[in-house]
Amino acid sequence: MIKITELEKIYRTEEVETVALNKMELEVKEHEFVAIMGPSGCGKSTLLNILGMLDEPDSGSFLFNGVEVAKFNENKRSNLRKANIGFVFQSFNLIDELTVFENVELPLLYNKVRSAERKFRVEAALERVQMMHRRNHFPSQLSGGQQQRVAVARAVVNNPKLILADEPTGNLDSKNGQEVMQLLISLNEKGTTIIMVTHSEHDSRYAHRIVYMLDGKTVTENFLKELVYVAQ
Amino acid sequence: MNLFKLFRKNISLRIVNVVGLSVVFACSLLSAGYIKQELSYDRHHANANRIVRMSLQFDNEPVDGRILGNAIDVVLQQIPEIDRTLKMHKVYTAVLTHEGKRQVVNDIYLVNRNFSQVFDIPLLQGDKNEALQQKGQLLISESFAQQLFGDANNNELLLSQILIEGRQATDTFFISGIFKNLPETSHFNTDILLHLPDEYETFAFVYLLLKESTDIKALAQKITQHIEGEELYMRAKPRVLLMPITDIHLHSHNLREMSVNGNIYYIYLVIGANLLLLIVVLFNLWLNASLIFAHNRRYYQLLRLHGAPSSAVFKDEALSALLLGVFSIAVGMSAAFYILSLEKIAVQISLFDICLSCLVFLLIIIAISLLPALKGMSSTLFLNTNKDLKPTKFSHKNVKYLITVQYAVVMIVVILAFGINKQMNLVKDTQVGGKERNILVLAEQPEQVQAKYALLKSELLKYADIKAVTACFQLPGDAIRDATSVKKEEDTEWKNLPIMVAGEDFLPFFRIKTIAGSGFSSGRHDYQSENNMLFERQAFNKYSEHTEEYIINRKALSVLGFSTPEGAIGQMLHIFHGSIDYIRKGIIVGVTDDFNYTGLYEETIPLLILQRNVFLHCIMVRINPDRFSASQAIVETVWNEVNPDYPLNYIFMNDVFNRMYRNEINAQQLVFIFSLLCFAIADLGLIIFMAFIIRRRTKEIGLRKVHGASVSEIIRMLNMDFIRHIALVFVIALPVAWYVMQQWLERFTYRTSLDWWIFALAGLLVLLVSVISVSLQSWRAATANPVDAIKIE
Repeated sequence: MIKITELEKIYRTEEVETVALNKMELEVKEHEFVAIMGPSGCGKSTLLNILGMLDEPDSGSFLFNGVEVAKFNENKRSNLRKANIGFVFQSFNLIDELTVFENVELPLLYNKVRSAERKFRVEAALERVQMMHRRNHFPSQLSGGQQQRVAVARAVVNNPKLILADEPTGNLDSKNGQEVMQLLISLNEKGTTIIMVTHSEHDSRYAHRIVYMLDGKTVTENFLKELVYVAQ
Repeated sequence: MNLFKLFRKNISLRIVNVVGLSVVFACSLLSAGYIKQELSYDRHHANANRIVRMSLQFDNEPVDGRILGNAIDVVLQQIPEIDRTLKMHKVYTAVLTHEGKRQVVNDIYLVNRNFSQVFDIPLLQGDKNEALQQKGQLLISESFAQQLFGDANNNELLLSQILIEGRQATDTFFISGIFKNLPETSHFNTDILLHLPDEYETFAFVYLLLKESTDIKALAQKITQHIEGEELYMRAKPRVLLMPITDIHLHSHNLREMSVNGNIYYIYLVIGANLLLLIVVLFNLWLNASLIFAHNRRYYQLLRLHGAPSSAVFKDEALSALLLGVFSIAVGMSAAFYILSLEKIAVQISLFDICLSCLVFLLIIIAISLLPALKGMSSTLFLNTNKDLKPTKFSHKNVKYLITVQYAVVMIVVILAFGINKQMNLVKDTQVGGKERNILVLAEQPEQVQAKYALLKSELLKYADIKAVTACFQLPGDAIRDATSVKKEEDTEWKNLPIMVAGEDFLPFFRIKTIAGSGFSSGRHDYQSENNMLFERQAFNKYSEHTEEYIINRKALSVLGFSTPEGAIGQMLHIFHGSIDYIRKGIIVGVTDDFNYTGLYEETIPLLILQRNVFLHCIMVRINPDRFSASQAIVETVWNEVNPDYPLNYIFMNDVFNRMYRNEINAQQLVFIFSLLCFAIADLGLIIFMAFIIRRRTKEIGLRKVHGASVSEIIRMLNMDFIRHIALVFVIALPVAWYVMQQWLERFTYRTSLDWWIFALAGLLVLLVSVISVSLQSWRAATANPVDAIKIE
């Protein structure tokens, strides 16, 4: 599904040049659950942003479903992103002014899904994360775990092929963290590819494979389990 | 923190405030000076509170500022409350000759012997009690003496001989004194005052010096009753109107005023415009102060947590506000003095006014700036560092309401600007010659010039650059008040009909078409023969047997009892008048539509148009607009050949109307400038507000983009919010603006229609400019990298 080759991203300020990705190589198969680990500043988040088409690489190749997207312009990236990718962030990133329902509805609005269909899919997603009862609440009225569950619902509501999770349990206690991980696993089991950046050894063990990064490139990979996917 | 550092921290906001505050300070300083000046008219006379001007109201006719003849004197002398009566007769234009040098002088007054006792006009030379007491005495102003003799303080100037030749006054005069220039704040202005003999019967402005504490209303009634008792006026019973001299400038709008007066409504307009501007600017100040306080909140919290008293916070905020005020006043005052230095407006501002304005302004700025601190500090949450810490956390909804109010003000002013502009265009379109730049108006010509008018005309028309020449009794825009009695051949009853005496080619000159019949034929009589007829009529009461042609307008049809324009053609009319009826019958040869030769404050009146060769005081020349200067030079050359003894003196037709509609044009410009200022300042506020909204919503924008929102969708989302508010603003502003416009239009008989598109256009303009000014920021926010946005905690 994803193949990146010799991917480079360099941040430049007037005085400093920081190499965030240094000829990075990575391949992720469909239905795979990959955890990316590494010390702070090793380029994990930059990689995730490029994979999520929020940012563009300086050089190298990025094939998404066999299509070269490294040089896509903002519009094309946006279209590809909204059709294929869901995001889960460490700090939940719900919009304070919108209700739970409206937050989850957001990706559908921009995918021009009809109102009745939207309602149906938002409710289904909320059911899935067991947050239906809180549909009219605002994020500030929810606990951290609940907020992250809503964020997961928002990430899956559009049935994306790929979910990018940036330390999804980083701001949660172990019980809530566990719940969110279970949600991700069950999504993966149903066929969604997941790439998760994490600092947690514990969480990484849920993945098929752990990719270790240092100084902007992959240093080693650890295959934990074989990818077996049965279409459901 | 150092005060300047604190001030600099939000420099862009501070600059917005300094711009707005300095503009409003400059405007209010200039406006205060202007208003004070307008209110001080004629207060320089020691007896100002005892002087009234008298006029007569006949039925519901418009009031003429002057009273004709001396019959009224008998009545006034019987009334004990009247100390003295002053009469002033205005001569619009005359030729003055001194030591062989001739020059045109305008606006001179014949005044009776009570002038110096009623008015306080100090003399530099001569004796106040003797000047203007006898026939042939004349006073000139200091500046005119300077111009004539190069010196105003030389007492040898007294008794210098001066010849004045005017339409109503031709005589030799001797200088009996030199008066200090009349102040700007006098409702009349002149350089020359001539003695008016008591027996001289003419139209005169009548002033009464009253005994102390006379009840003006009761006195007016008393004079009215006396006039009735004496049966002075046969045609109607007039009502006496007495206006205190100090009210004339702002409240008197009679026909034939001495000069164009101001108008109290424009004082209200200036005050209103300043208040609206102040509201807009103070709103921006409050908004920015709230934003800045929210910005500095963390700093203040830390100060307080470490033991600083709340007064320390107030002190910091107050000092910042003081600094802001001082900056704004300095900039505003410089701007005001710069504008004064351009000498476009003559306003004097005293040091006391400046000091008072500065003090009031500073207090307002400090009070408004402290509001957010007062509100914020009273909250028990202030010291809780964990709560309420977002830099722009203040009542967002309230700000929206205030922006709405601010924009409502802007919208009202913009609609007014559009409406006034439309009315002024109507004025120019409807007024005969209102749009003509290329007509020279040679008003108030003496008889000697009129005698040579035919020659002048034929000589001028030899040049291709002179397009047309005509003449008329009345100056365009001036009131037509002379009426004659008219009857049809078969009628026995006389009707009253205003008359317009025009020279040849008058109708084609102004492109006035006939709706029936034709125009006048030419060459029936000439100046000399008509002058002889006039002499015989006046001296021997002998009527000529000649006939003439008449043209009437549509309104005159019904007065004369004609049902159709065609029905009037060929009908014989008889006229009866004090002197104009030296030819007393004629045939109607044409009917015109109603046209507006006089001001648009009045309805068009029924008119009987006579084509004559005498009484043509006002000559008009249409020149080639493409060869403006050359054409003027031709007029000058021809004039000097035909009338070598009379200096040429003309104004342009559009200046006649600019002078006449001075108040309206001032209002038009004032509203335009204020709407521009209000709009610009409100727009600045909006830009700042939008910047903060966007800062507040950066993360949301990023998230929406992450989830698929396109740049246009983000821009739409950001703009839609306030477009909705502008729509609301429109709904609020519409009825207010409509009401104010209606009130203003009451002044005119000819009113423009307040079409829907004026409101729509104003609304669209405000919307468009606002959308453009916030869209740059919206676009910047929409195109920012969402990665940066979602990092914000």
